[in-house]
Amino acid sequence: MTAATAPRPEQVLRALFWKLLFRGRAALAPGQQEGQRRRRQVGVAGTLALYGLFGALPGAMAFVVPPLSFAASLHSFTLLFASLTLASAAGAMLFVREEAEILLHRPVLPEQMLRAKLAVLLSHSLLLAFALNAVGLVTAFWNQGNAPWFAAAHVVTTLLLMLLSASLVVLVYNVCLRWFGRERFDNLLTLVQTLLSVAMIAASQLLPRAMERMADVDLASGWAQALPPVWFGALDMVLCGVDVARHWPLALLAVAATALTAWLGLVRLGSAYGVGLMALNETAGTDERPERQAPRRLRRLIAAPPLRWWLRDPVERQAFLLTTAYLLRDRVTKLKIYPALAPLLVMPLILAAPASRNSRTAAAEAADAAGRGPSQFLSAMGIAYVVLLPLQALLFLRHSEHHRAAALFRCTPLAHWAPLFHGARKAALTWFALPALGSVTSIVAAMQGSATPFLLALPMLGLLPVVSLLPGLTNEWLPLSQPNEDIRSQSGCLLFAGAIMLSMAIGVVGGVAQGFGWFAPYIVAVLLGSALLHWRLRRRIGARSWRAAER
Amino acid sequence: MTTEASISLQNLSKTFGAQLAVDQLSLDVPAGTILGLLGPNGAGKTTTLKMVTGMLQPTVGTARICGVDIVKQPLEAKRLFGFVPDSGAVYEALTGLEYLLMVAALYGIDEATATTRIRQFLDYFELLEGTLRHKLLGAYSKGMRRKVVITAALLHNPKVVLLDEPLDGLDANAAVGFKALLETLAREGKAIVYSSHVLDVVERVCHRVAIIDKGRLMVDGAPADLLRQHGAATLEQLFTKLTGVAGHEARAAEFAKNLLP
Repeated sequence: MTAATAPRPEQVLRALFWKLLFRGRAALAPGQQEGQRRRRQVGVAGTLALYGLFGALPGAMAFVVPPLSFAASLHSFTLLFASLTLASAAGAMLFVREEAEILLHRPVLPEQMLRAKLAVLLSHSLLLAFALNAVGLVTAFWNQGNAPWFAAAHVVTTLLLMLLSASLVVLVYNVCLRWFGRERFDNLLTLVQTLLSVAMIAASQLLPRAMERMADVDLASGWAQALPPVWFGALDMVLCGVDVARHWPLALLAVAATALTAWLGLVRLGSAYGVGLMALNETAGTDERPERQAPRRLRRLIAAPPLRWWLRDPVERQAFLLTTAYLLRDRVTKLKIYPALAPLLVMPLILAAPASRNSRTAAAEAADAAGRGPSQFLSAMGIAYVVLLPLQALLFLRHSEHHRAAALFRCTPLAHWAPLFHGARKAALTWFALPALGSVTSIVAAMQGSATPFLLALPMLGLLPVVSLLPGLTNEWLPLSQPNEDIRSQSGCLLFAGAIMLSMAIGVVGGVAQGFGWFAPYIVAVLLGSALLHWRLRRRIGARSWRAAER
Repeated sequence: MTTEASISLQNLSKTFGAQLAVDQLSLDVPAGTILGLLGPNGAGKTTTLKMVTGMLQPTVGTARICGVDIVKQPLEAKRLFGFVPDSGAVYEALTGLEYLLMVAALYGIDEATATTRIRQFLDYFELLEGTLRHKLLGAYSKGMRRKVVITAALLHNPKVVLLDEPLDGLDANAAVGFKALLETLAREGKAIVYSSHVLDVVERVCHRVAIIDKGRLMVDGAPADLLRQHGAATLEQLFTKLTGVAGHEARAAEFAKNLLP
């Protein structure tokens, strides 16, 4: 019988999901496969190397902090980076609507699918976790008061920590899908992914600052006991035989939390995964709400000034509406764009957060008080991140699962693609740049207690319209016209890097101009230059016609 | 002695909130029969097939494949049928061969046997082995992808075949070949449900036709019997009479007259 030598369904599914994790779910255009495979290999190696480098920071703590603090700092990094990566990948892997059409009618149980996906996610995040901990596992031998077998104990506790993270992710997603339904689940998923990306950025900025104080804090008492990395650090200590009497309660908490979450997420709610997948399938296309309010409100909004004046061209207006619809309704677009933009909104706030008084010199404090200090300048740089928002949004809005639908534009009697680009660009400016500018400026002003950062950021903000035009220079730019797999194109990264360098240069020169008392003429010069450049770029983009081969 | 129908639906119903998608549908399809499942858009055809295949949980009622309840014994039931969904969804990042081997393995077919069977389908559908082996599914034409989906449904030689718009995207030659294949499979004793909007194909291929509208079964019988009972000359006339609006020609003429230049 053939079944005797066939692999078990779970093995087959694990192999499948492992492939999909690295390849993505959609295919590339012919001829791109080989290049993409090489990029993927380099990408994985690069990511591991980067994580290894990043892990050097907690690894170096071995020389200066006691064993529990060292173990807890390693677990903090693991939790914040490997676990958050796991959570972020889980959102895209656990609930894929088309998957129901491919797998749900085959002889596999939803629980088997869940276990296979989880095994893949766990293996992937463990790889990242061990890259992050690699330096720490070596430096642990120099950690005073620690056991020589710390490395072995830490491998076990890291495994448990990742199991806790994976179970927690599955538990949360399962509960949400079961209780909130597909429509709200999509928004919830976007929110979770956005918060995760914010948490990662915030953690990467704030964790090193927190570590400065690690040597002085007793983690085994007080508020620190509420933090999971400390529980797993305590488990490390128990396994190493370091002050067991003091650490065992927290160690027990780590084991109990992992066991309970794994039982709830994987055993108790494992069967709910099938219900969740069915729910995704069930409600597709059966939205029962009488009539969506959003389309009517949107049409009213663009029919009124100032959008009516700004979107006079009917093609631009329709491209604006198309882009907006995808920003509001398309699950995949939402899942990729909001988490990608969120860090750009968080960075200004992190840069504006007051540094600890110990790390600031008296001269710096005096300069800040006079409105010319490093804090004010950093905050201004932070506000300037807003300039990058439309650029980043447009890099994503060029891609979609439904990219084949863009063939429509090529069949219509349009002489140029520029109106389609401008419509999408104006949507990015309207929905991201302008609201972000208002909110970030107000929050930074409140944090700093002055409007100086905004004034310092003005020359950089003057570049906003120019920077938003840059994607139109690279190639024929049509909204939602490229497959999602091409999102990380080199030209996109170059544009982004170029825009950052340009705005930083303008900002630095602005700082120098302020020092010499030429700030007002400098702003005027930058704004005039920006207006001139904007006019030139628009003309240039407007003159470009369709690519001959595809027209 | 009674013989168990290959497909048996008893009072199958599905509601989405307040909306009744399928309303107490009862049908039996014996082995060797090709049943054409017809209905206007939104009639509940796809929902019915999704319930039969275990992709949707019925609100009420049962669906059995060769006597096996799809809800109570899903794995056993799923081994008995092959399904071609109308979406034609596949993992686009896999090559055709990777995809088919993966599907075969899920049915417990070892790689050597699967490869032999895949080669048979390859020959039948005139697919190139090089394409199947090296090209990712996302780069296939719609017709080629449909052939892969059909192969994936038939690879384990199921007793029951459920098809939702299977000809969508197939060229004329492939469509003719596929219809011949269906007739052969039915002669071999397989029960086939063929859901489609293409009435003339259903009329030519199916032994029985069931028309549903608003989730309810309107008629069920052999095409010739149904035409005779309802005084219709063609299946199209019968379909329109049962589910559509009368006077299409007059409406079209009125529409064309009023169409702005």
